Amino acid sequence: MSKIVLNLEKLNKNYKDKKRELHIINNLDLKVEEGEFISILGKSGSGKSTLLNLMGLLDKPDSGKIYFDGIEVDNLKGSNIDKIKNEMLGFVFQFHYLLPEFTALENVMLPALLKNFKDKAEIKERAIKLLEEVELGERMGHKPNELSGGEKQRVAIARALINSPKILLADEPTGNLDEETSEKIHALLRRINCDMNQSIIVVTHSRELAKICHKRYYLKKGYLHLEEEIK
Amino acid sequence: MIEFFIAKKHIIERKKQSIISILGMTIGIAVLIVSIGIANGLDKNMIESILSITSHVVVQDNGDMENYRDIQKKIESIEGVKGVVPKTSTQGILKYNGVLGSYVSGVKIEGLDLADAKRAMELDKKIVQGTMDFDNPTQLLMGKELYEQLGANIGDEVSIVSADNREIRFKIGGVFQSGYYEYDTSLVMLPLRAVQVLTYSGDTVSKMDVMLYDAYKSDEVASEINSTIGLNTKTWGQLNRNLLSALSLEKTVMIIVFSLIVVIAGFVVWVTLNMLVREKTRDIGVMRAMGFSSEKIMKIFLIEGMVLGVMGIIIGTAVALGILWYVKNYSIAQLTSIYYLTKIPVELSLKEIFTIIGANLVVIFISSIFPAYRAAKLQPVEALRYE
Repeated sequence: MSKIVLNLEKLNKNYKDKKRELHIINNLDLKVEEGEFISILGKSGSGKSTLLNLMGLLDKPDSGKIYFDGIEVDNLKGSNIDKIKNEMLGFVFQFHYLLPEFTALENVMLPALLKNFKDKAEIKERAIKLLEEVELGERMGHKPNELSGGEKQRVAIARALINSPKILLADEPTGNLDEETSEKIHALLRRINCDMNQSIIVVTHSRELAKICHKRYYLKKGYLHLEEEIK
Repeated sequence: MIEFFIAKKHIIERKKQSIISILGMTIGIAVLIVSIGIANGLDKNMIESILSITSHVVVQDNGDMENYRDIQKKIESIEGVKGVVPKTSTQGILKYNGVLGSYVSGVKIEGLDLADAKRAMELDKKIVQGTMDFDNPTQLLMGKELYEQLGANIGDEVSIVSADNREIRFKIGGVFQSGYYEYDTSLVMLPLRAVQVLTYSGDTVSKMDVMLYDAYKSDEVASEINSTIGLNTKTWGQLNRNLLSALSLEKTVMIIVFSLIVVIAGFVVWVTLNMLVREKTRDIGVMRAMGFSSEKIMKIFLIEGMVLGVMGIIIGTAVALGILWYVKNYSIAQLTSIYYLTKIPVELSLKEIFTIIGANLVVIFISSIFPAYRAAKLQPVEALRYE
């Protein structure tokens, strides 16, 4: 059995409406092994993004425990949580969310510069390599507004990978792209998973993307149901 | 430092807003420094003019002083005293019949020993036309403005009528320019003996003008005269209390009014940063997801505000010093009213410059800290959802 990089134990998240309390995540358990490629499907409003935000430490659960590489997040101070976000997690959003003032190269470098600003030259080298891997070696000096939707998303993927995270979290990474571009992104994620043994959790509506994952979960009424597991 | 790297990007990429913020601060600080520099210069110029022609300490007895030569010697032996001028002051009427017609005007009359006045007040240096004739008791000195109003010439005769209705004719021996308009329009200086005759006062004086090497030590010298000789004293500060208070009040009000410009400039920085925080809300969420702590987010916006403000301060200070240098060296102002100047005087100490800069830094810090704090307190999830 491979090493567990993410472990969610009895996770709960509720939102209070004016009239009632909504149980978005209900006693949810999930273990993610190193190198696993997991997809989480579900209807709109089922809590997929909430779950991803909890995994990405952008939000706090009402109860339950989150372990990264065996470290319990609840016991950590704010600065250590920020360190986990920076070094162990990579985030890809539906709408790329690249910083508009920075070039593609600078956007990719940013999380690594946060980790160690002094090694700028080494970080730049690493970022160029990553951009070449996502086939954007020629576009690294361009700003986000000079890139296509697919290119922006590939830059966002390279940015998420710059610190060699334990887990790559992707929230509808192809939700805003056309079919052809989406297929290229799917292929890229698959390649990253295979070549780098990168653990990936992707929240998506796309069955095509879900098909290429090792495990396919379905989130319904706050519970995760394993739909398919490809050994 | 990554915070500086990001702040620098924001400043450079948002040139228009950055320039407006810098310009606001530049104008604010430049106006403040220039106005304080000129106000200080005008105040100093006025005080120096007054001090050059009026006494630093006035010594008086309960009535006229008979043994004034003895008292003069005693006072002159006190340390710091440059000279003592026994003086009788009165008011009278000046009459002149010239080619432009007759002229009658009320004047202030000062009777003094010209040799004493030369030594203590350096009166000879203020003579711009004619001479000071020590031995001629029928010659007078008059202020330059008065002389020009008369349209008279050196050597012309004028009559002085005293309050006791005694009239004596004098020749205009010389014209002085004190630099203080009020004196130059209304003061005539006569030999002491002549005023004693005009006022029927005999060989007495009404007061003694004490001139010091350092006018700002007038309090010490006055108290020493008071304790050793037992005469009443008044310092120049006491004599000009109203004027000095008015100058001080004028300067305070001016600083308050011009400080408002700096406050407005601080407001521009605040608005710029607030707009930036609003525009960058989603980017802040992304950065928080990358692992940027709330402290780092706060630093980014604080650095940005401080950089914009400090650039404004540097440019504004340089511009202000340039303007003051030009005004001091080149500008010839046609000011002949209360300040009676040919050039605008400038006086600015390093302490004042640093105080203005310090106060501005505080304004910028306050303007920057609130938007920066707002940015830092944004919750990542909410920031990412921001439309």
